[in-house]
Amino acid sequence: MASKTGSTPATYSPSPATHKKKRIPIADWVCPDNRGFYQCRPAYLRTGAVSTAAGSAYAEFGNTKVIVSVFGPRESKKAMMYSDTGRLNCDVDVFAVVLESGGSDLPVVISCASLALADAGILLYDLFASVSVSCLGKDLVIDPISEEESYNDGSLMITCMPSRNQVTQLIVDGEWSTPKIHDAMELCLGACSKLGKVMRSCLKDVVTDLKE
Amino acid sequence: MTAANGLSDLSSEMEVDAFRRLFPLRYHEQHLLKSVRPDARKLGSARDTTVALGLANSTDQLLLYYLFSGVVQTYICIFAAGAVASADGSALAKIGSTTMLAAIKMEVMTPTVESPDEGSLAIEFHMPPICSPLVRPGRPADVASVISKQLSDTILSSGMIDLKELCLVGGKAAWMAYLDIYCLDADGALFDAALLSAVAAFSHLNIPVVSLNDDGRIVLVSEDTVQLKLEKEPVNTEKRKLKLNSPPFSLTCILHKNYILADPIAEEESIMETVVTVVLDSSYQLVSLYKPGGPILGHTSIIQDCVALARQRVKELQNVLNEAISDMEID
Repeated sequence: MASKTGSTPATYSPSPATHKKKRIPIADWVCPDNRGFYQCRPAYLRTGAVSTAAGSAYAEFGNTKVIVSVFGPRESKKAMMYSDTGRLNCDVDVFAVVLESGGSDLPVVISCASLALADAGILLYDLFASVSVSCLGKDLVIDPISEEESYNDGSLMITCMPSRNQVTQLIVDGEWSTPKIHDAMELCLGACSKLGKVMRSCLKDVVTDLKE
Repeated sequence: MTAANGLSDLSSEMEVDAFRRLFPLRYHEQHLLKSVRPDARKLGSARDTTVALGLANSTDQLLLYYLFSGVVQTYICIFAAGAVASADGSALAKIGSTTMLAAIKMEVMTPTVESPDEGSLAIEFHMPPICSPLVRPGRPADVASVISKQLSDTILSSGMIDLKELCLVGGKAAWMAYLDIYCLDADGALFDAALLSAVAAFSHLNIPVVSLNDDGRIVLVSEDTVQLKLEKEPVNTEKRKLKLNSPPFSLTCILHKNYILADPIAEEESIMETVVTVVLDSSYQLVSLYKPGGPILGHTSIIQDCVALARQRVKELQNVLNEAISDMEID
């Protein structure tokens, strides 16, 4: 946030300070963008967002907008020690900026990072897709927006490699019953494989455009 | 230079790239001899420039088709993209590959005793690590604070914004406009793109309608609240635009031997060290001239040539900005 050097006058935002909206009874919850509970937001993915990076990608899922750049492989700053065999230490740096936070930010960043790494030509075992699910009372809402996330009783995020069918990351917090967790995981894995297909077609489009 | 002449006859792709990496100065000088630059521009021409003004809360707008409307990728700019829905004013400016996102948030402050009927601007320029391989996390780029100060000085001294327009209640409340500019892709001419995005964001800015409530605080007026009377501030039924007097536009040039290269890319900036930035307002009056050292001296003729190039550029930028404003109004 910008601030003046020297005496910074205190400022306040004229928006209503009390953010306590009346919590709508969960049974009547309707997704503001008219999605079904098990429907993800439409995904817009593009590689090559940043020209100065080795690889980059831009992702827009509803109101969540993210740019990820990948730099590398480049020389690592560590390991200056003497060695009598030649050694080349490399780092790959992945940086992300969330331009607008509309909910489910981390999964979007992860999926976008996967595309950026692929765009940079870094060798990967597989692409990885990430989806999160929010538990609102009895219902599971996939790919929640920020409002839904703020009302949730628990959230679960999975990152998986769709082709290899392997889960690389699982984060669960809040209140969950075991059958609920199973359902949520199934939901997420299904969504991840669909997202994986979208990501794959995005990368293919780039190659076919280049060929033309 | 005979070795370079021999090397310049090589036609295979790989060798040219290697030559460019190993002998960048010679590579560029080869082009300058023919009065052209590696991306086929003339010495005095700037790169393609686009501006997109934010549209608040447009749910169907896909952001940043503009990001991809470069020369190579021809994804058509379909929408005058909504940049940041949660900011009061926003804009995206792209000069070649250099991309800047500007966002303005309005907050309320108590005006100072010396100027009780004036608001304030707080301008800051950020370079997140995504924009360039030279920026490391945790270590802000040196050039970021320089550009931040330059922008602040230029915008405040150009008189583009009359701070009295930011007053709400004389002596008690005034607007503080926080302008944050994020560099998303740093490919040279950062100040030019940042200034353009700042001016565009101010053109887009909608000052929210507010009123003074009983506690003496300023609050947003929404459709369902009763509008209280605000002393001296006319309560409009719609959001208000800021009047911009003669917005400033800039052109950065690089000096090398006898050549003047307008609108440098990052590679040119790194190998040819003398930079001159000229800022003119829309009536072509000089707002600022910035030449931070460098091996080439700034003789009068050179500076005059830079100013002449800047004059041309001001016309181009005014057209670009007016187009963006009219696109926004159509939507």
